[in-house]
Amino acid sequence: MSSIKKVILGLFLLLFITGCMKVIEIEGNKEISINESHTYKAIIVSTKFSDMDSYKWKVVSDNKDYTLTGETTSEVTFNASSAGTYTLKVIAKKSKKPFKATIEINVTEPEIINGHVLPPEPDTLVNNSTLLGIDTNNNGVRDDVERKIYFQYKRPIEQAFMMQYAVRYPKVLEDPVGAAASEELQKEMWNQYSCEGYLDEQNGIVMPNNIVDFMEVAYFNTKERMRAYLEFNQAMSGGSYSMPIHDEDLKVENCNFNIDELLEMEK
Amino acid sequence: MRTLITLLFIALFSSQLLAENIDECKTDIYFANGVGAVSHEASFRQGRTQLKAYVKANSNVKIYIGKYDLAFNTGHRVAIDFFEAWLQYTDENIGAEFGWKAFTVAIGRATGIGGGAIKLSEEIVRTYEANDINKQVKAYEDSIKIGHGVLVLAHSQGNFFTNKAYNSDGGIAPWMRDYFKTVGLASPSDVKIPHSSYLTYDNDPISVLNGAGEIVRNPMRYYVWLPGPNAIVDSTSTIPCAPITIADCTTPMCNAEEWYSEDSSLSDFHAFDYYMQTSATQTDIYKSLTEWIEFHNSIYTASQWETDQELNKEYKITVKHIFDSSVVMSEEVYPLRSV
Repeated sequence: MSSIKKVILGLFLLLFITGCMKVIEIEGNKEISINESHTYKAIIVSTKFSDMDSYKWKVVSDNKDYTLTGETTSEVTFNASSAGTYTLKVIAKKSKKPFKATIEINVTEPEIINGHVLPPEPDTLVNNSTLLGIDTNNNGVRDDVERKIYFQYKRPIEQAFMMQYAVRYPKVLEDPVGAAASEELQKEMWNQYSCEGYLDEQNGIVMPNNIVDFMEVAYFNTKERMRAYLEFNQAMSGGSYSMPIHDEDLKVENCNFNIDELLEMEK
Repeated sequence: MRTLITLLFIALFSSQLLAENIDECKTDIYFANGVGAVSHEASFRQGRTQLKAYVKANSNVKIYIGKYDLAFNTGHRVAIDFFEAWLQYTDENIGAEFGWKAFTVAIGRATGIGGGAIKLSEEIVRTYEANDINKQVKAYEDSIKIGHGVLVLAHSQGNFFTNKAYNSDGGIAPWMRDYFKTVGLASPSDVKIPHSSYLTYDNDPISVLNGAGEIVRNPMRYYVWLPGPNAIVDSTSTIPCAPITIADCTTPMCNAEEWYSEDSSLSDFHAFDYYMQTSATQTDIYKSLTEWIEFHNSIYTASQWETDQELNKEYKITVKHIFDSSVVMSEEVYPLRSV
């Protein structure tokens, strides 16, 4: 092979490798439910670029039952009103040079258990890549934990109680030491046990024995999350924590759900 | 006889906070959890469940209980917890017979967590321990300052913490000791806090460390069967009985010539819940708790306050603190009960 040919081949190879290197990626949920609005962000992953000049988003799908807002910014909101697979595509330009990225979004009918709309099972990799994970319905409980609660516990009252229980853990993960010192968190814990005591004393409803084990295993399921939890417990150590046992401490208003409605559902 | 003023002080004026909080009839119950408890949540739940069961069975004491608290010490990762417990043991037992390795084996058997010779920095562990004890001492002192008795239901390593809170230089003020009692379960410590009660099962593995506690024979026992002198032990031989209770063992199935039994301790026998739920110990534990609550509320426990001046107006008096002149009651009060 002549040296000119080698140079040309080398150039092609270089162009090919450069072309394959990712410059942008789309961040967002791949599994969502119908009629839920989700945000998708174009992230620059190449160190060569710090910003882009423009963005253009579009959805590739035979199904037209969707809305997309913010198509010319780095972040869009996507909502689909019927189930199916949608391909979300973005083209970002820098000095007229285009960079593309796509993401496949699987939109499904939501699962409903005892009248509660469950969030879709999140992508494990994405969900476990951050301390807080994914909470698509913004109810304060990580989606995978919320789903586990509804599948593990069958009684609506147990499910509602476990949701009340779970809602304080994001604070523990976010700031373990601050959470240990937080009066608000102590109050939430007090309320939870006050509610549990009320259910037991007034309605004869006893929560399952395994709820602490369940919650610790479900919520602190990665090394980082477990480390944060240990740090939280470390900061709690030595402290003195009041237990609601007196009759006057057991109050219905400390349950953040409607007991009668849930018991009616069980009939 | 010295005038003894007990019970509620009813304030005259607007600065009522101190007077309203003081109640010398009440006892605050603390649960001091044991070794290896990693999570606050689990210890909290455990303490709450058992104390709730206690007051349910002894509803007459309810009105004398100020609050129920968890005096939490975390398993600063289990290895550190083991080491901390051993340091506490050696603090109490100079020249202790049990070295670190033997100690971890005993605690390991008691808790079901594997022990071992783990090298740890004493300095780090001491820092954790001091931090925990300082906080616990403050909570106990706060209870006593408002006239409440402190009753610590301590399990396993919780006894070491409780002993330090009671005895050590950084512990509660000496005058407060008369208002502090313990019901100690499965204590690895030889130290007994005066007028407190202690209980350990004879087949709780922790009992090998306990020289001073009350050892109670546990009717529940397990046996393992080992080959005797005439046992033919080869690949086809089978153990005549799996680990069972003694009641299930009948001859000739357990022929001593071929097989003999060895009493085997189980980590289950060390568990806090086991002590609190098993009838052999539950009755005694409940009785001890009730006794101390009633004792604090009785005339046998001296008031922290005495009459300073009798004002001769509406029977009110001013009072002064007997033990600590820095604690001042500015209100004029009624002496609700005199002895």
